[in-house]
Amino acid sequence: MVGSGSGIIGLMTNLGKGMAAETPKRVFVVHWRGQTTVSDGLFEYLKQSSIHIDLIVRDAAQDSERLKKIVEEAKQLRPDLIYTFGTEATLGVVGLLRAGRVNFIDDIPVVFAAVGDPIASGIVADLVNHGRNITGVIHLPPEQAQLEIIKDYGAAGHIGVLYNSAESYGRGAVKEIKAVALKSGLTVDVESCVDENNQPSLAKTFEAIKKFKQLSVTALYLPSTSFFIPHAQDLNQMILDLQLPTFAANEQIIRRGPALAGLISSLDQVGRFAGLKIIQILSGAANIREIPIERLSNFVVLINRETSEKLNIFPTVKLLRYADVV
Amino acid sequence: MNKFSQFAPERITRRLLWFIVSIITIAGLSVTLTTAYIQYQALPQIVAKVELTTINKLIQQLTIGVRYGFEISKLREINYLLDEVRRDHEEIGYITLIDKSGKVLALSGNSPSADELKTLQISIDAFDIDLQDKYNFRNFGLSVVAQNDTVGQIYIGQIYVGINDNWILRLVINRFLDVATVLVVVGMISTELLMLLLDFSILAPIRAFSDWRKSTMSTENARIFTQIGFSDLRSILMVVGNIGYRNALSPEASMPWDLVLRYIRFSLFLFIFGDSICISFIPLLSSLIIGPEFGSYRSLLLTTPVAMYTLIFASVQLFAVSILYKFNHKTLLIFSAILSISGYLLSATTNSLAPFLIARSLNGAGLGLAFLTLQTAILSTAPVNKRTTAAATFTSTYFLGTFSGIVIGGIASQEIGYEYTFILAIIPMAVSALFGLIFFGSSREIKNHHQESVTQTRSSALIIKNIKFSSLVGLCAIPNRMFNTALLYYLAPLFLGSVNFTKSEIGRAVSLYGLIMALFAPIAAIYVDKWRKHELSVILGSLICALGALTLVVSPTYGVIGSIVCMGIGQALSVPSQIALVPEIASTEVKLVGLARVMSLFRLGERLPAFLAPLGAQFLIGVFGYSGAINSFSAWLFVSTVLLYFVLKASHARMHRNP
Repeated sequence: MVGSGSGIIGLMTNLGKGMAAETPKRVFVVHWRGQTTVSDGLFEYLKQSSIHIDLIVRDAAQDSERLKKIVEEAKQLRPDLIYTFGTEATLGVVGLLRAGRVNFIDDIPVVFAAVGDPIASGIVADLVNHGRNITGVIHLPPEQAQLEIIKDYGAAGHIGVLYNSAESYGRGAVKEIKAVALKSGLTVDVESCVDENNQPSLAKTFEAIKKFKQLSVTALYLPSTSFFIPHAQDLNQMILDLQLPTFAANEQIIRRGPALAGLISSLDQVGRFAGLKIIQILSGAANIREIPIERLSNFVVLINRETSEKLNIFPTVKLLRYADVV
Repeated sequence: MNKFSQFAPERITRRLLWFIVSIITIAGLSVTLTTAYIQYQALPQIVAKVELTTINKLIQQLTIGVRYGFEISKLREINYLLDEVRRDHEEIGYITLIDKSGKVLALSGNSPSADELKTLQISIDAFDIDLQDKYNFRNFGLSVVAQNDTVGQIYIGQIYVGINDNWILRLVINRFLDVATVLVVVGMISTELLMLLLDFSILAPIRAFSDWRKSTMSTENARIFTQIGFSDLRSILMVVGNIGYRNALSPEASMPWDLVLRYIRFSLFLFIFGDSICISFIPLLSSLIIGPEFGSYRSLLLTTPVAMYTLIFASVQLFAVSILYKFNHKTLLIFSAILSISGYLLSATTNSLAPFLIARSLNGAGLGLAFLTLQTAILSTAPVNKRTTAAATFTSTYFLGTFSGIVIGGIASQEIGYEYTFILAIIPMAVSALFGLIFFGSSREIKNHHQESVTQTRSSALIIKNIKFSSLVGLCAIPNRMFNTALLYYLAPLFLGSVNFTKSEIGRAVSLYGLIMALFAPIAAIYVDKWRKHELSVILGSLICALGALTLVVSPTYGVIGSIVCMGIGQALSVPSQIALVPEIASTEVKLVGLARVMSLFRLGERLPAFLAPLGAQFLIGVFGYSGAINSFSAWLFVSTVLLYFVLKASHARMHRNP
């Protein structure tokens, strides 16, 4: 089984059709923080395909230096395709759109998953006509849809947005939220969890939340960032103490408690969708430059019942018709 | 001999006809009324059973939260969910959710109080609801139970639903009116057919035989007469039948003019009936074809199907004179039907704007041509001293066809959808053409060479210079026609549709105009002719038409119907009188260029600008709303009528000064 470390796995199911005789395709997998549900979905999809694929799995463990070494290894191995998980891993492999190509890879097709905003992150300039040797799947719903959930709770009067300004995705999300708020006449206040060293910090996070409470925001919204996930319990306590209705774009933040609801993608489906794109490329069915970067068309409203009870804020019956409750 | 000469076949056939029609009408209405009464008794239970599915779905949605572990009383916006159900189900008067302690959790509609609801029985058998007639509703109550994975079944409370008695009544009345309308239209068509049948098999042969007998006996007739003798009834019938058969197949050749008129009238009725079938729903269909993807141009484009139809219809009048002199009536009628049928086939098979506009243009051209052909056929069939009667025949048949088509179109579009209604409309058109093909002879309009010496341009200029003629067109015919087109073809269908009138109700409302015109116009024409009060009739009719919009003050919805009724009464007075006034006020021009050209110019002037009516209506809706748009047209007609009154008065004063 694939672990969070490194290894080579052979995925091939269609021996009867003589595919075994063909040279197996090698897919170089680059994880940023170990194997996630997204990669589970991807591996499952690839396993069911008729192409014999050897997976070479590497994990950067959220370490940029380690990621550089993985990129060097990929250059030497010359796989048929590279798969990356997350914005950091993808940028580490392909580099910014306008950056030099020396330290990055541009002659091997790269398929990414779980990149929140490839344009704001500087990976591509356009999702359809991107012109790069790269494609992938965006795992987050549009911010406008997130705000609709907050509106449905009747809490969209004054929204505090707490984001990670060290991540390009966070900056892009804030830009989008401000644009939507301007259009719909919502009041939005924005704070970053990044300290003076340009690193996200818990102290800074708590400080921002308290500030929002003082500003009497009607809702706190947390755009997706991996920084909050390990600190979910701490955040949970503080948010409950302050009785602040919190919404999040990250599934784990909702499941572990601080957020009472949010719109999420099925991560398993994100992985499978990335798998489909990989098969299209490896089978020669489509040119990677012509495969658009896409997001799923269906999202799930996730509601945390316990948080709702503790905050004494409840969903509408209409929202419950299409929501998942944890 | 005396006995035979007193024999009046017309009277006998009429009496026979009235007897048959009365029996059919009484029987039809009795069956329809009985059916309506039975429906009124049975419908609430049927409706309630249907609603049971709706309410069970609602209970499922209400209990989702409970299944997840939420307390139902804490969930938000339950009322909105109930409102949503009621919005989609007009028949539900109220829905009230009461918790197990008897407290109202949510309600929608004019619900009885919680204490009153508690007196109602809760239905145990979900398939056989206990419907209770109380508090002005047919009520039923159900238990609300949620299934929780850990706890099992959780009793939440009761939900009470009231079926709206008024809705049931409205449904029954609607159905009754639908059936009654179909009966009336079928009755009218049957009457016409019966009359034709009686003419064909009894009246024409008897008249022919009578003429033959009265005439100086030719050698051949005398020979037959002697040969068969009056005692041989079988032989008489053979002779009679033979004459009748020949007469019926070429009526214009040997039948009296009033019987020939019936053949033309039947064709006209069927053609107009077919053409009017889609009048009431074209604006609604246009709003489906022209979707939001057309952006800011949408509101303008919405008017184009009606505008195109009206424009092409009027444009055909431009070529009236040349077309009528070139082809015979039969050819023109068949060609009109081909154009209209093609239009309907295209309408039935397209969902795109461009083909739909082409289809409407084909229908406009078909109607324009048929209108010209059948009007002139009727007028030229009648003797000169009977032209008023012939014109009244045309007007009443035209509006009976319009009335029948609109109501049947409304019902048909409601029951079978737009596409099949277009296909349905093809049938009367095709029968009309077939009727023309079989029974129309070679009748046509004959050119008068003396009148042709004046060119069309010169004659038009000559006629327009006549101030009274121009005033009649500009201050009466145009505002009347514009108001008529805007209200009946655009504003009324759209407005009534926006306030949830069903398609058949819209059809019935719009068709009131045709019904009133058909009934009232011939009677009004007789008296106006008798008293020679054409000018007064034009002024009075236009004022009634304009002032009808005042009913909008009482109720915008029923005001629209009031406006239609007033328009029917007003235009029944003014429209035939306008036509009668034309030869009177343009007598010099008629002598110079002929009545056909003067009338053609009058019709063209009246109808050509009508295509702007829907565009103007759409603009006015944007500025003032529906009521404001109707008021604007009525105000225009009012002011124009007052101006016309002064123009005519001044003209009379001038005539008195310079006799």
